[in-house]
Amino acid sequence: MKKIFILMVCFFILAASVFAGAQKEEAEVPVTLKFAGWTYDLEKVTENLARYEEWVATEADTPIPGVAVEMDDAGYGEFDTHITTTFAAGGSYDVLYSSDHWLSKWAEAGWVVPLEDHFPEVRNYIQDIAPYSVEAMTYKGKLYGLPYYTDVMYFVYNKKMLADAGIKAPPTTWDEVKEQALKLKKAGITADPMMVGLKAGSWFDEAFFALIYSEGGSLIDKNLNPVFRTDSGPVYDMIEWVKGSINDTKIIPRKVLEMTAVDVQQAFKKGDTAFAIVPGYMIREFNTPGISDVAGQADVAMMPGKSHFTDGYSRMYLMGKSALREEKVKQASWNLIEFMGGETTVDGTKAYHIARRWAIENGLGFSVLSLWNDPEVNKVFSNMGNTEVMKAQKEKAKSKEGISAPWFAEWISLVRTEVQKAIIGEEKTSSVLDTIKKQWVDLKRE
Amino acid sequence: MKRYTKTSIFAYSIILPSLLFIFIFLLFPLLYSISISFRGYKYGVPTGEIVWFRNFVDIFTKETVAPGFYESLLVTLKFTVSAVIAVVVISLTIALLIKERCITSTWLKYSLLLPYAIPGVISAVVWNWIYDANFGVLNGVLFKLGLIKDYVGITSNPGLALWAILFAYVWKFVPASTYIFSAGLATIPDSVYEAAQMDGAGTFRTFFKITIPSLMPVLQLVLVMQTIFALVMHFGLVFVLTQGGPGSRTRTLAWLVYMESFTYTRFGRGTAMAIILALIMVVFIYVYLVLLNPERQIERKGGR
Amino acid sequence: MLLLSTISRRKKIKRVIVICLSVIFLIYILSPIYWVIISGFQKEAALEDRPPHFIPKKEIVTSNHYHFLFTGDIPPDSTLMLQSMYTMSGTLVYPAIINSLIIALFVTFINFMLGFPAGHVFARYRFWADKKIFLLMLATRLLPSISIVIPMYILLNKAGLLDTKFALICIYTAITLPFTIWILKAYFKNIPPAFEEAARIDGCGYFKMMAKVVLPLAMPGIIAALIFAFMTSYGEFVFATILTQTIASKTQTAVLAALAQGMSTSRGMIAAAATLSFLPPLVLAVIFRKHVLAGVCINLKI
Repeated sequence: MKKIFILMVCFFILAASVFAGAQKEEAEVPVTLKFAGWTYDLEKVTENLARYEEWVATEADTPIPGVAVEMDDAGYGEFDTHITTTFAAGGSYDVLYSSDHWLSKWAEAGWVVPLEDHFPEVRNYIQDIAPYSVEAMTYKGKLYGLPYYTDVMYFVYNKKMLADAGIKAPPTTWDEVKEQALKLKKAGITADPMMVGLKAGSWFDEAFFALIYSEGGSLIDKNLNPVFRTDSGPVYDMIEWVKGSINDTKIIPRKVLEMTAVDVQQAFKKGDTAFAIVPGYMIREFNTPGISDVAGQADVAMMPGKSHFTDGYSRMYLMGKSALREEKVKQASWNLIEFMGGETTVDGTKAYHIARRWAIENGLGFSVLSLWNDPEVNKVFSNMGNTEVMKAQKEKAKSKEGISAPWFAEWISLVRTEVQKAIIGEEKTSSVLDTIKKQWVDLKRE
Repeated sequence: MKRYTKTSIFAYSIILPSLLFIFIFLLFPLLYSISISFRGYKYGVPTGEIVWFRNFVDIFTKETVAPGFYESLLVTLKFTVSAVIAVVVISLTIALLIKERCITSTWLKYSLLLPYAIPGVISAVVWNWIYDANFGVLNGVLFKLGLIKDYVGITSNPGLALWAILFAYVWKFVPASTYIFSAGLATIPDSVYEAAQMDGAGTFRTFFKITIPSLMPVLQLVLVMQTIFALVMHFGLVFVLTQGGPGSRTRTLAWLVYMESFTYTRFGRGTAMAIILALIMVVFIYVYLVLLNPERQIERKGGR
Repeated sequence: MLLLSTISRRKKIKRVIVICLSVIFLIYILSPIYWVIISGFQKEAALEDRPPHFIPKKEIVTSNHYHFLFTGDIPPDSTLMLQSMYTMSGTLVYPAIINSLIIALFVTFINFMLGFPAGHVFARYRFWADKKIFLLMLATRLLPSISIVIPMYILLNKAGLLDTKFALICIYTAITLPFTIWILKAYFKNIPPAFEEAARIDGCGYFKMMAKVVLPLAMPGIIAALIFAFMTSYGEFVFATILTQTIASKTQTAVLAALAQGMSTSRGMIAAAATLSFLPPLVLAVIFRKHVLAGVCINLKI
């Protein structure tokens, strides 16, 4: 017994010393920026931040020595929650990632500041950024950030599987998708011919809007009023189509309800499925040998449906309210945003260094128009799939409707649950649509 | 009388630090949470307005904006009742198996330490990997046995999702109550069983006539504990495994509190809902204490 | 004779049923742990095989996942795809476990320093409002943590204690103390006070008596209570995930839950991380198994 006791005491002393040591480590730095991003290739992000620290002390227009960046990360699915809890309790970040559907909420709450109020020069970027991306970064007429990456949802298919089943061309309507999928299923080529990630998380929104847009559907108009019919029309038809595909024809496995776009990507690489709806940056991996079991078989087709439209989304860098605490911090934060999302001179060359790096090394999409002139970038994207189709699809991309409403983030998370309810047949599609319409109206009234 | 005061001063000087901890870090936040539940919030920022009971009224009446309260109440009750029954039945069975003193008894007894010691969320992570729709081992086993042809979703199956959570939950919470039942069984003297055997009572008869009545106080303890646990401790599992889906099939009250507070950022309403959850818990416990209190039963009989 | 043989046959059948049931339960209890440990040692590509390798062959066994968790070195033999699956948050697992251990050890220590005398006082002395205070303390155990996490968040932020180990230590102490006191009170009730009285008569002071007489007698109960406090604070999730932001205070539960939520993260790495995370309490429970079992039984004598 005594031994155990002595052992325990030793433990505590050890723990106490470790604890005390850990508290002392913080070194004094003139400017410390707090930066928040979601978990994606953190190694590269950390590298970029280190490069920024170097750059801002030397090459920046107004050099600030001794800037250190502290990064926090949270999963993409939890990111909004993480930011919300931080700011709601009075905390803040100086620079942070955001997605188009959170900006309005954060801006309305005053957590992020309009960049152009403090740094009017940011407007110079507008002419070099695709309009839909600018729109996504604008709230109440003011520009809030610079782009991290932007992409659209593509309809991807497996050429070889289609050929094996004797199908000559990829589908152009959802009925054709069904027809071909059944053919694939019958031929025993794949049991789950189509996948689209419908897990009730952040990727749901992208997939849902892509499906709705493809059929020419529309949810919310410019004046923030709901415009969809609840008993018929493209929105209703599309939900019914997905429901039927999962429950009746079983061309979509029910497990898509627990899959995100990333899970769909993995399934496609594994050769589990013939059709998939995924964000553009994922396509590169499909055709890369060693990464994918179906390398060389994947290709992009226009989104099936009546209008072939798809969802285009933007992720961006914003400035948090705490950046305004000091002139120096404010300047350093702007420098960081410009370094990450804008055009800067690093090692003597002027370029969109970070956006370019993401595009070349990770295949992330971009909304900076001049990057298309970059031969290296162009090469990467032409290797991905049918460039013509991708360009055409990009032109037929719309950003999510209603994102300019600060209640959008709350509404869309209600929609996820409701639409899932319709898909599993817990409630009728029409009553689900009624509910989400009512929710929008009620939230707007508040 | 004077001694009593002196003892009191001494006793309080010893327990004061503990009381301070509990007051500052549990009771004070609780009182504060009541004040939060009376406030209005918009996008996570207090509006500065005291709304009194509107948050509570909203929960019960505004089905559109505060969605799914009744639904999740039902899911919670369904889960709690089945979890308590499952845990009690399984742990009592295992306790009886351990009592049989077979070769397997010691194995059972000590292997239960593993799920007991594993933190709840880590067990959720483990089960998440087991249930995985694309590469999970449960799918693998079913596939190998020829029960399925292709890997299927388990936590996305509306009919299975809640039970998948329950299965993982039971795994984690059976050990503690098994040990309690074991200890309870050990207090029943062997002579009672021998006497019953002499009278020719069968296994089942002995179980219902002797084991269960003697276990009453233990059973009460297990029921109270398990109910408290089942009402909230599934949170980690829901968080990792289903996030309330598919649809609202696993959206329990604890998860709804989390969603209201941290996804919809309505701290007032979320806190109000948490208070309702705590009240439900109190009701449950009170019912058990009244229904199962052996002393009270004896009193009642004596009164007659 | 006939009667005896039927009885013995009945006993045999009973035995078979008992063993069969036991084996089924053993599989239920042990297989998840077996599988997660085995997964942590398998190559990523092997984990994606259908059906999986229930008993891994030599050529798919690897320690790369563990290597990565400790060093952050991405396995050199892995393909490009696998490299992208090793998120850097995997390297947080080890420091997070250390955080959890530090927090849990502190909580255990404070529990000992405060709970031990408090449990003794509740068991031995009658004083003003003693029963009420005790009940109130027990009642706090019933509070769902999700209902106080929001006010806690706001309060801690006001105090500038958000994202510190200190805050978690205090909260976990408050959560575990009532239970520790409850267990110890019950334990002291079973020790006759004669020893203490004798010590007092011999002229022992209060603190000397506690250290020399009470502590050795109560050791098994104390260990049981402290192990429980350790496990509770080590495995707590709701506070840990909401009140922490950086690795300065993130505990293993928060890191693991985030890792499991992460998209396209190496499954072998998650399995290895989970194994590492549950190792400390598991080892503790196995070493002190007698005390753990005894601790559960103390509950019975309320």
